[in-house]
Amino acid sequence: MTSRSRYDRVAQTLHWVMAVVLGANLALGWYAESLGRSRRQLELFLWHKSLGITLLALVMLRLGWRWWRGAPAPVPMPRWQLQASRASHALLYLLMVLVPLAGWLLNSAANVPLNWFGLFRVPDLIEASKPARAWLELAHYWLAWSLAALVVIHLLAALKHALIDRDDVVARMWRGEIEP
Amino acid sequence: MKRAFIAILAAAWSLPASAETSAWASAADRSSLTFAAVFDGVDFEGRFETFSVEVTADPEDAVTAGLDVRVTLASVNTENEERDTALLEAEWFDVARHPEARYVVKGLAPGVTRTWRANGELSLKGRTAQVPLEFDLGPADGGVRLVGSLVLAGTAVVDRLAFAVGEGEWADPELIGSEIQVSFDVVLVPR
Repeated sequence: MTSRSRYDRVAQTLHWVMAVVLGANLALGWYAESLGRSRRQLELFLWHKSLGITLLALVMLRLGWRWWRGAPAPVPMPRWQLQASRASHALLYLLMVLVPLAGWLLNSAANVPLNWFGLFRVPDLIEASKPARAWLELAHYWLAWSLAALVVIHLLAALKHALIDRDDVVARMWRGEIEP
Repeated sequence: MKRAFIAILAAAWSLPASAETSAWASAADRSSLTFAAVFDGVDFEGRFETFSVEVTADPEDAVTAGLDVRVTLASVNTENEERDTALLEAEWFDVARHPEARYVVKGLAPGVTRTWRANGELSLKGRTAQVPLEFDLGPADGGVRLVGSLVLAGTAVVDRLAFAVGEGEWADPELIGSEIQVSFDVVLVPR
């Protein structure tokens, strides 16, 4: 394998950091939503929101990095798999932007102050509005579930490549060192 | 005999004073009562949509003024449905048992940041405590005599914990600050 067949270390790091934080934040949002109104729920949502803003920044950084450095050439595979892979990755990126963005808009419409990990005030994107809030609540919820479903498909596809096809797809994002 | 004489003297002294007292009431559509609190280190604002202010004073001497403010707590609006609903519950305002807050001032003193200062009594959620108020009070068209419409504007700081507003897990001032900055801007019309 040449270096062009792998993602570089920055892309790999961004991928795995986001994988952990995004997985945790989907679970956190889902769990906090299931709680009754309480201080615990409020505090979990504060964490959820700070992590969400972090994820939005990370995905922008990641898209910028990918645009600048490009992605490695694809591993040989059937044409339909390649097309499915391109479509699902494009959709993953889109949802990784839209889910936190909808959350941020929702928080603004709901007129709740947002203090990123208690460090700085995140500005409101839109004015407080009941109808916008109701609409954004639905959007954030369903976009998040779509993202969760797509992450599961992404994981299953990676497992298939690793365990069934036994090709280099997963290795492109896994090993830090470049083999000669 | 001596007691009767004092009573007559007191009556004679108080009569002309009461005769000179004028009264005003707030014009709801030209008055606002707002507050700011800190949540998670960030300010948020709210207002009470329904409240009334009654003022009585000797037009020649504002020091004699009395204020009677009544606030319908259920009219709280912070532009967030959950928060506004939560504020009505027992842990916060408990409007089912204490629908109204009342603030009563008897007599003014010169202020520091504003023209006047008063140490009124705030009754909120079954508790009563003194809350100082700094404010301006004067005729809407300028001047000194309290005649015609008046403008009353000022601020106060209310310690929500002194009135048990936000009990149990909500009492922690780290999450929601205990100091509530109250501002009012009221137009008073003669009664």
